[in-house]
Amino acid sequence: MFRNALMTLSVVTAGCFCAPPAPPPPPQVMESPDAGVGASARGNLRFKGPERLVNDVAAALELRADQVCTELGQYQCASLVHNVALGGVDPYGPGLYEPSGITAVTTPLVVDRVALSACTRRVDADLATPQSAVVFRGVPLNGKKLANPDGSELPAVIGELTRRVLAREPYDREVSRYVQLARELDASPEAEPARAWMQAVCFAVVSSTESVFY
Amino acid sequence: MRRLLLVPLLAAAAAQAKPPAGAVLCAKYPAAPECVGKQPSCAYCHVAPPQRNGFGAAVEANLAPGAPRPLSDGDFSMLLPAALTAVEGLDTDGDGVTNLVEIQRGTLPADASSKPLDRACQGDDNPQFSVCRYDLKYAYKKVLLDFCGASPTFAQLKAFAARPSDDDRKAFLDAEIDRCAATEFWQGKNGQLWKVAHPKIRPVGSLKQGEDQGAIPLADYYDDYALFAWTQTGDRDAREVLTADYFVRRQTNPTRYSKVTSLTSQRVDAAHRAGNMTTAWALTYFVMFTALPRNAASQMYRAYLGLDIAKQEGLYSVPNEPQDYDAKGVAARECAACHATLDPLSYPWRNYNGISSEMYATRYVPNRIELGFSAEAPRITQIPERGVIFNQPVDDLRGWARVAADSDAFAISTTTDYWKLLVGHAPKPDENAEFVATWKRFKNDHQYRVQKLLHDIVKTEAYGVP
Repeated sequence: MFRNALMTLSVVTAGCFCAPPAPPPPPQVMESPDAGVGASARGNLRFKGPERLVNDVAAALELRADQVCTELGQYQCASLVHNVALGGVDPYGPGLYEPSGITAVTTPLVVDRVALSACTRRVDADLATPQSAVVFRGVPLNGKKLANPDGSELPAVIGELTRRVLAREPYDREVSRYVQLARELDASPEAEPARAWMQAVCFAVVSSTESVFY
Repeated sequence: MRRLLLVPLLAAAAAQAKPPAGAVLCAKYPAAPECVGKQPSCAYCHVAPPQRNGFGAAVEANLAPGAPRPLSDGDFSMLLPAALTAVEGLDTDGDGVTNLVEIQRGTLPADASSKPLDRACQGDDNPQFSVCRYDLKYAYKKVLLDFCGASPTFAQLKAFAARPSDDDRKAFLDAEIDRCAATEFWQGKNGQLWKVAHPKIRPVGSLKQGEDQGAIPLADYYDDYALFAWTQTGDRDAREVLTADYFVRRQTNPTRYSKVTSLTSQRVDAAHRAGNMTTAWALTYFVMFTALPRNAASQMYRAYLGLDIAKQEGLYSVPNEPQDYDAKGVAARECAACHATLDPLSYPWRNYNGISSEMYATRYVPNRIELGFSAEAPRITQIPERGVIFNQPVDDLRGWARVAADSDAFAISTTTDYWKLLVGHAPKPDENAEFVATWKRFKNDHQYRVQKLLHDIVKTEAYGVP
């Protein structure tokens, strides 16, 4: 009885490790807009600010909001440490009742900090448990390298990431740029080119103007 | 002119700033955006009274040239229209737009960075946005971010685009606004409504009583947030933030607000309550130890009516004021221009007590001045409870609240709060027509229901045209 159960478990477990996870569906790559794109008459771009930024990053990368970014592993970046830099308010202590209304010198640094933290966590999780990978799934690896930077899997995960973060399909220019990055990292002395590529692509999309403004 | 030169200057009361100026300008240009439901502040012509900006200097040069200064208010009011006419064709700030056009378009004739923007729509293709017209997909993304705090997913956007018609998409947008306005992000603790309330309530963590208690617990301002949120949600009248004779209890997980007749943290009796103007926190923080709490009056005027006396806004001078009952020297020429409005605005607070012994703290105390402040100044007990707001006499603070809540200023201020929250900035001159239509609907058609105001703002081009 025990032996049978153990054998069943072995088969199931072995099955999990043997079947590679399916990559995301291939993207419906859009043609990149040319320079003649219609300009907004109003130009009323708004920065997302601390709550919306974290909510969106968390949702896109399937993290809990409190996992997106912490300082010293315990203090929330957006809601506490860097709240004001991200355009938040601090009414109860210093009496900052209204947001400044403009982004500060340190705002881009904090956005980068939040994006890099969240992306690192997502990539770590996807690489640690590829069977349950959320974004970077189905990417064949050769040790620490991407097995095939020119394969169809990379555009697929670029599409998945773009749909999750920007709620649209990627442009052809974006796909070719990120694939080129994979080739360059693959040829570089980078110790973990696959991880570095995933982090870099995720960071580029999550910290993009399109992602942090609305 | 001869009459002018002979007018005894004593009658001029030696005032240098001219609170009547706004009314005179608006009588001459009633359709000017600065005059629709409001009046321009002193800053329209002054850097800080009596120092004039470029436009004010040009007007002054054409205001009875050669006549001795200061002019009486009467002469000033009579002569100002002609002086304004004389400078209409000038461009005093050198921005390429004449003063008349700036007045008519709602930009500032003394500020070169403020001028009408005639932005023609280019109309070129844009794969993501309809840049020349209301873009429902763009509005949908914004609605979810503004009200729910998160972007729509790829699948949600596809589903939105797949809806059968624009009418159907508009109906869906309306439903989404209502759905999101019930979320914690919108109405929960530290949510969007609380953010609108912060500058009105002006909390201080170290003085907080109750939940999140501070080091010196004096009052619980979460009650103020609760009343504010209650009046801004559901089918409720936003004016009750000033007129309520009830309180609101907040429960959590999820946040719920409910109307109650009493709270242990509140002390003013029902007959003397005036919404968030008479809460324990408001009296603690804005009245404190003051006999005549001008700070309370000016804060409520600023917070709920959008009129900042420190910026010379909302000045409606009352004749024979300020009386300076508390001997603070406010009748001095430099002070009187503002205090002729501010002091009568403050009198209705005379019996509302701030910080004191347990027996009297944050309560309505009849004869409060006589009980606690009679030695402060010889005439201090003569401070009346009757006051004046917007040139309307009121018997007490509840009367003050009624006039304030029913004013155009309240509707404009409330609409501005949500305009800033949703559009991202105070109404710009080229958005003025939509803004005026929106606050008038809020006041007249919607009877001060914020929930309906939110739908109206989302429907404006200012919100939905990329």
